[in-house]
Amino acid sequence: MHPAAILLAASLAFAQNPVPPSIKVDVTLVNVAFTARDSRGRLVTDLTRDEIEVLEDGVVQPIQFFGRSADLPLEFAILLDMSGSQERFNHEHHEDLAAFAKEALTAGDKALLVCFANRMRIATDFTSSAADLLIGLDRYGKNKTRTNLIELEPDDTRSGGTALFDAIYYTASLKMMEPGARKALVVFSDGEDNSSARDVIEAIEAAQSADALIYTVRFTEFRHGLPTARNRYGVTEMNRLAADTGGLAFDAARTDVGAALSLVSAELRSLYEIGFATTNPGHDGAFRKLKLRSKRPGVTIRARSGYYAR
Amino acid sequence: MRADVSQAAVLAVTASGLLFAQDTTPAIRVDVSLVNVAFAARDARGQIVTDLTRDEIEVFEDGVVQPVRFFSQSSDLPLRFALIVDVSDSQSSFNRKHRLDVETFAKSALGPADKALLVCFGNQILSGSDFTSSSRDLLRGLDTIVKSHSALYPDVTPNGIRNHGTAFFDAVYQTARTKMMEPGARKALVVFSDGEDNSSAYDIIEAIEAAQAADAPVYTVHYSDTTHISPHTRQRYGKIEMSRLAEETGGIAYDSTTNVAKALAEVSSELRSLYELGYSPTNAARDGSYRKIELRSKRPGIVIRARRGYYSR
Repeated sequence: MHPAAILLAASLAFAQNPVPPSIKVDVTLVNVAFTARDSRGRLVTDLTRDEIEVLEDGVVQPIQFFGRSADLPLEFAILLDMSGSQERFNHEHHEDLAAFAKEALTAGDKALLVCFANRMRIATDFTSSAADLLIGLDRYGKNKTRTNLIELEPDDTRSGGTALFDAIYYTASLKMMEPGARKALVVFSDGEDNSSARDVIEAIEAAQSADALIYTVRFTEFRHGLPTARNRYGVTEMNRLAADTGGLAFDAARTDVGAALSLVSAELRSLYEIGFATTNPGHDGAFRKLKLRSKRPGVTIRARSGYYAR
Repeated sequence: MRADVSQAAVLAVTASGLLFAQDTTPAIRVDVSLVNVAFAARDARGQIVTDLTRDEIEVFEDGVVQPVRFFSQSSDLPLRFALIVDVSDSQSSFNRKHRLDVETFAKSALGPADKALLVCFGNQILSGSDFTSSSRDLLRGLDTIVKSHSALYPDVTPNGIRNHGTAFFDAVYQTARTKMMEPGARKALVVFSDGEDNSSAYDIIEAIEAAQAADAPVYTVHYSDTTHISPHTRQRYGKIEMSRLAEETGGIAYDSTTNVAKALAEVSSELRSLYELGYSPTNAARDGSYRKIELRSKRPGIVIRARRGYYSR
């Protein structure tokens, strides 16, 4: 995360005073969104500030604000893997997108649709309309040249089929950095990246920087019914992306995707937000481990695992 | 993925039980998990520093100062190398250079008491030679593999299918886990590749974890086709992955355009000058979480390099 470096330049200009006093305070404020669930997996919505402890690299941090409001608008980026390896799931992707629009998107929310293979195209830019999302997907599917669709970070040197990490990296860093909304990426893929310039660590970092949670829905194609080395790799990567950003990983073969997406939506609407002024304000680029603890017994907290102090 | 707390020493002190067989005094069990960290120290001009003392080093785990239990530097510990050579199709134009590097390595880096093993990989992971002091063994192994492949390490997946050419992460992971876990020697992996993995079951984080668990720094020599004007996405990716492996494990990432012979000699002298320290972590929980390790020198101008963490399994 780019800790929001807030420069408060309070120049209190007194018209008569030739030398107005000027106060400059450099505060590095780190925001973290988190979910809380009880031991039976239900969302907990009544935690108070005193029940939460934030540790950065093992050091307790002073909490500057704590809030939870159920009516913040959500901002989604839907990433659909349209590479050859996912072809047989294209029909399901269409159904899942329809389910997403129905179950997760409510009035006031916005969603963006990115379709990727070894290129990443904006099929639909941010919209509140479910119909626009589906039209975008259809347009992507029908127009084989896709020249009318905007490319995120075009790169002619990208070969191979699946640029998952690049898709996440550029979606998060180019489209999700605006503050003021609750942000999530919903990624439908097998996780078997083979053509990105960025790696899984950079993809996670970009999402952490946007304070966006990644929810993954994994479609793995088993050949001869058995997992290959690459299948295993894809599982690991999809799980990592979710775990390190505070999201959740679903296996499409074992999950009702519609139900999962409505769970995602409910979870995002019950997120808490916490902000702290880090006790280590240096911008050394190093990874800072974050740990959120609940003092109330049985409550499990999920949040991003850290941020980079850039 | 066990023994990330490298060489976790579990001392079961059962003195009372042994001495007084008839006594019902319960045995005392002391479970001490030691984390060992080998580190290199250099001054501001890049020269190896060999006279640091225990009091000049501070160890932090997740930002908390740790009690150092032992500290030593001895230059006569034998070295155990794993040479990992990429023989996939994308590296075929470098086969001759790789052979030259192995030869140079044996000449300039391998001392009389040292041993090296050779692993070659494409989409299979092949043993060219087990630990040996003989450069002939290493070269013969490489030559045999370049001519005809035969798999050594069983695949990690149930039916053993790996598609595509370059199982870079799996090669590092399997070698560290199966060949580098023995305590008592200074260990290092030297990897010659383009880093452009496309067929492993394990990922970059698992490869780093395995090397960190063995406390074996990874030295990488990056070979890449530079005929294109700008490197393509996969070349950039490969370079990032090789740098990460080196940085996170306390090694160094070299490019093949540097003087490889000089670099390998440097690796050897650095390994011979490593310090070793051990601490008992203040956070003794084996919760599987990643622990950041940071070593700081109180002497000004000293740069310390070591693995950056471990998983407390």
